Amino acid sequence: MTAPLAGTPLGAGPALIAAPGPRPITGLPGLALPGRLPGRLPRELLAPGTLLLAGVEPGRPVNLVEHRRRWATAPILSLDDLVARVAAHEIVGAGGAGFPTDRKLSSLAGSRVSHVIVNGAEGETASGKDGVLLGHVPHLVLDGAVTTARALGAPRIVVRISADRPDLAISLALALAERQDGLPIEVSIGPTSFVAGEATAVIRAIIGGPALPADLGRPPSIRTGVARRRSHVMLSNAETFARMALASRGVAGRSALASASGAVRDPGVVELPDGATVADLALVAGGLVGTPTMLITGGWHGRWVPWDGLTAGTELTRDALSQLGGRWGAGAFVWIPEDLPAWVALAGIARELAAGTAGQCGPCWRGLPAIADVIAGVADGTGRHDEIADLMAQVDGRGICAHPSAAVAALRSALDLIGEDR
Amino acid sequence: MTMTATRSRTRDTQGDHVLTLDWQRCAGHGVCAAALGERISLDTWGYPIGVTTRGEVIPASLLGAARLAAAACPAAALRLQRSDRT
Repeated sequence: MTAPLAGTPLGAGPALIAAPGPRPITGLPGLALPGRLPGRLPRELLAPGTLLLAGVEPGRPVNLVEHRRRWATAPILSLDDLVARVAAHEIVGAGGAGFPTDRKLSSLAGSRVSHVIVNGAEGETASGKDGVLLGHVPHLVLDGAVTTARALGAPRIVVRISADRPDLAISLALALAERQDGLPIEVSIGPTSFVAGEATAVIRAIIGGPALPADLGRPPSIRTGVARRRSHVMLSNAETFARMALASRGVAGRSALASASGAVRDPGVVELPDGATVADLALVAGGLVGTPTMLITGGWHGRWVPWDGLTAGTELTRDALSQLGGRWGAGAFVWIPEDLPAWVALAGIARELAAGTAGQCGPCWRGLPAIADVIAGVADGTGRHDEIADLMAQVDGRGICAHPSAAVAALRSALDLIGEDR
Repeated sequence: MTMTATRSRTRDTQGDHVLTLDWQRCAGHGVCAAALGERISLDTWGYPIGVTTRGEVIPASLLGAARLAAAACPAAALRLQRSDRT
């Protein structure tokens, strides 16, 4: 169950012919988005939650005393017991891929695990849930990581956050000062970019490399059980660890942790009970501004769906959204403002996706900006949309990480919805 | 022991030849398409189509051209390997 992480050296090959080298990471994502779309994280918790965030006051972190009063101490479980509880609670990776966490854990049985990594880097600018969890219930996330590290026999825990969230570094430092877990827990701060939060990029940065995605030669869903020499890394999203903290205590219940932005009065993060719908999310986010007709589900890598009665009544679950033709991803929902022409919105998002390239693979760093240029041309009336499909076909399925294909899938769903009426 | 060693050596020589691409090295020189035009073409930006990171099996008839493509790649992005040695 191992894959060499450092199988392909990063250095350029022999320079026999002068050629364009890999591009550096382009600037901060979000800057190119039209004004009415979120160029920053929906960071606020809008209301007390229902499970992970039950009783939590927006803006105030839960300290260790309060946390223990509510949830008691984290149990010590064998790996088998942890896997069984995680499976019983049907926990899946909450970073976007949705891979069953019990399978990730059991794939590490019998391996030496060097790090448990909590991924709170949240490169997706439309999502703010991991920041909200680390800022409000850091002990819940840390409990999940500690129980996991003990079950796997991992000697250290690293919590990865992005450099634009110094508030989380403070929240985590205060939380860590209150705890005594008997194993080192570090906070690692990475660059603020779309792909820097991608699982393999986080692993690579923590074990000593650039914060760029790696080709681990494995299906993306399980490649986070990564080999480093003879040891492995267990990485999961911050929300996944918080849910593992509850599952390990045998606490039943489901909830939807979602980010709402775009044409809503109060953009932010909300935790809603099982059965809540997309309309409920809009309501808790202060209601919609105007009458939007399109909704992005699953963030910038997600799917565009019409905002209509069917979508409004859809439950906030992975399955319900898939059936609708949407995507859960990391639970980010963006309503396209009514007064923002769809092509202009799409041009901004295409630019965002292009800026999100790691600059490692030619078809991605050349192709995504080319697509963004054509879409911008269509938006301002100078370009032709019939060039887009050909360019997208040349990006789809190429490169080492999921970004180019995921970007193309998102843009295709948008184009399907918008149509060619320009 | 002898049996095992013999068997594994036999398997080695029977493995398919697989051509793999390292996207992080590839700079779009296009030499591969010239050397192995039967399998590789170039996209709008000059990057190869027809070879992937996962590897493409190369039939014996194209081995010579594939060896040339791998050896001539200025970025050392192409590798020709036996499938059972990866």
